[in-house]
Amino acid sequence: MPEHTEQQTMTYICPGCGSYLRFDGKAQGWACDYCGNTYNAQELEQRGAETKTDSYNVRPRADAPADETELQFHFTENLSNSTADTAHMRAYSCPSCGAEILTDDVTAATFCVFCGNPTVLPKQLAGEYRPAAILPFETDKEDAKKAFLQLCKGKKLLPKNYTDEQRLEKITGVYVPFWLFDCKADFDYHATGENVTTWRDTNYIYTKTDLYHIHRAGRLAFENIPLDASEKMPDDMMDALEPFYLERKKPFHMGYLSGFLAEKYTYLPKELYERMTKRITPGVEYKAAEGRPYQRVYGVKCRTDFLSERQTYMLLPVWLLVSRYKDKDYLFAMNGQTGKIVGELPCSTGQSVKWFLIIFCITFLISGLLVYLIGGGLV
Amino acid sequence: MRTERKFAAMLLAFCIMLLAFVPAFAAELETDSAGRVYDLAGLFTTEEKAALQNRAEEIQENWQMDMVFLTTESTHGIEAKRYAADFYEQNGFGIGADYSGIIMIVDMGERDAQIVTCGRAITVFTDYYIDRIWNDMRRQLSEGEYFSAMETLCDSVEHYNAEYIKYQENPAYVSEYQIKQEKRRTTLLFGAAGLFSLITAGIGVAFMRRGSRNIKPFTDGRAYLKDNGVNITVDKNTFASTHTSRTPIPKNNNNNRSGGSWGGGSSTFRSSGGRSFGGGGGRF
Ligand SMILES: [Zn+2]
Ligand SMILES: [Zn+2]
Repeated sequence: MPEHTEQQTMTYICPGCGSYLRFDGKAQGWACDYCGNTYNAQELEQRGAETKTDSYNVRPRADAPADETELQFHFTENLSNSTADTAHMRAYSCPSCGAEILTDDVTAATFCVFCGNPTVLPKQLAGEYRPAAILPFETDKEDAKKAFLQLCKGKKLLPKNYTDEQRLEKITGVYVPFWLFDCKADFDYHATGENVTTWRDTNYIYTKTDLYHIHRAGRLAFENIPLDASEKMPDDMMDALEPFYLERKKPFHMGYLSGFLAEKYTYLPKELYERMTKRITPGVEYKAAEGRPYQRVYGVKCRTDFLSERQTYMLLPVWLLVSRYKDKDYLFAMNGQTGKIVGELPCSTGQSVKWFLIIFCITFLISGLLVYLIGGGLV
Repeated sequence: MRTERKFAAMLLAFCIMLLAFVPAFAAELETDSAGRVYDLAGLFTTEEKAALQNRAEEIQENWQMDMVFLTTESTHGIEAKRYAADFYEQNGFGIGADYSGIIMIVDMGERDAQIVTCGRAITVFTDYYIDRIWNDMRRQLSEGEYFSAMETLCDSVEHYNAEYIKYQENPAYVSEYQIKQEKRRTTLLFGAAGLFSLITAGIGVAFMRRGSRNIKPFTDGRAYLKDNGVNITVDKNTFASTHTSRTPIPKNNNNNRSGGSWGGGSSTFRSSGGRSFGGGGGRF
């Protein structure tokens, strides 16, 4: 019979700010870590402090419910922009993919860096362009070319002539728009912890399963979580380009754009909010579950309230190369600050087949020889 | 007196005649008691029967193994091999303490033919060899070449008996069965090597293809935690339940299967007399 234990945990809520109160054993009272108040039992009663009861069922693993994550977010738009002079800005648009490309009046945009289309058309700059800060490039085009060759090196399945000079020339420095989120996460985490011990006598193997109810709650504070605000940039690739060291950021100035391209943001922070919470939720759950002395943890029920109070519009430097191969775009990107490389390279079918046969022949030769030698009495 | 002499002469003549006949009669009696061909279904000609009888006698002499041929129109509802085993046992066939011998039954009613072995013949003619012999005989039986089939059987019996002696005398002897087993093992091993190579090549190329994608997320969010950004207010671990179960430790019983390098094992059955018989066969 599977045991099934309903756990009732009662926790006081701070009358001042509504957070969970922490019982302080030393002071024999309750402390609020957010507003700093402390209460004793009498005070809590006088102020009619609410209690919060969580019910969580501790069940054996076989019938434990699936992990459950509940996310809520509260969002205060507090955009941090600048009022830089954009008189020398030029805008172009790509007739093929619709990208809007920005640069200054001395830099020529001759092709579309996002889709490889060889013509871009000048256009009127629409709206305003006011990034709060910019992280200048610390690498040059030669570094990016070397990095690209480095990535291609040893890739046996690469189509022929993929690394020709013509392609290398198309590597372009782009300032990609990002929103940097400051965010707090209040989590309330319940889970089942399982410890199993086994021992044996002459006839039986014994298995003892102890189950614990884990309840943790707290607040995590994050800052400067970068999320690219460009529709053109694959999110997984931009996430992989991190980290950027933001200490070296500068207030935005048109001068930084010289020789580089830039893009306007396509997404507002509120459109990125869900992506942001999804990105940090694993970290929140990790922190919530951290350091528990259990062999297994399951039946996780984690409720997290995210609260973002500030978003900074910032340009981050990325070297970019988009290559089209058999109707698919392959993107190479290098972190313009650190030189970190991410990217996807095409695989030629012919090369794949060739290598399949090579590996097959070699393995079969070796294993066949082994069979022959070990099998010995081959008649 | 003359009549007396005449009578004596006649008596003598009768005695001589008797003496002359007795061996012939005795011989015929002996043939009957030593007869090994029971062609109740009438599948063989007289010459063929005589030839089979000769072969049976040769086998008896050379290999100390009885050889009986039985054809019938009906086994009266009894399984052919059991019918043959009972026939063999009840008529006292078999050589030596273990009644070594083979009885070949062809049941025309059910078109079922069985090679039934007894005593040492069970050891020599393992399932593997019975299968070999049966495969050779079966075609001949179904084409109505009953005598040829019996000759095939006799040839095989002599051949494998000779091989068995070699096997017993020479420790380095490699039996036909062993060769076959080894060939099968080798084929299997090469097949496994081929499969292994296919899988390796597949995994290798998949790995190479994956290697051309270099996109790993940098952080699950923890990298952006502020210094002192972790504030835990509730941290409770409540013991909820315990449960102990036990499972019996499985006992190992290693059944050592017999069957050496001669030819694997022989499956056996019991006659109604309780004696152990082996062999095999089938429809034709
Ligand atoms: Zn408070
Ligand atoms: Zn384009």
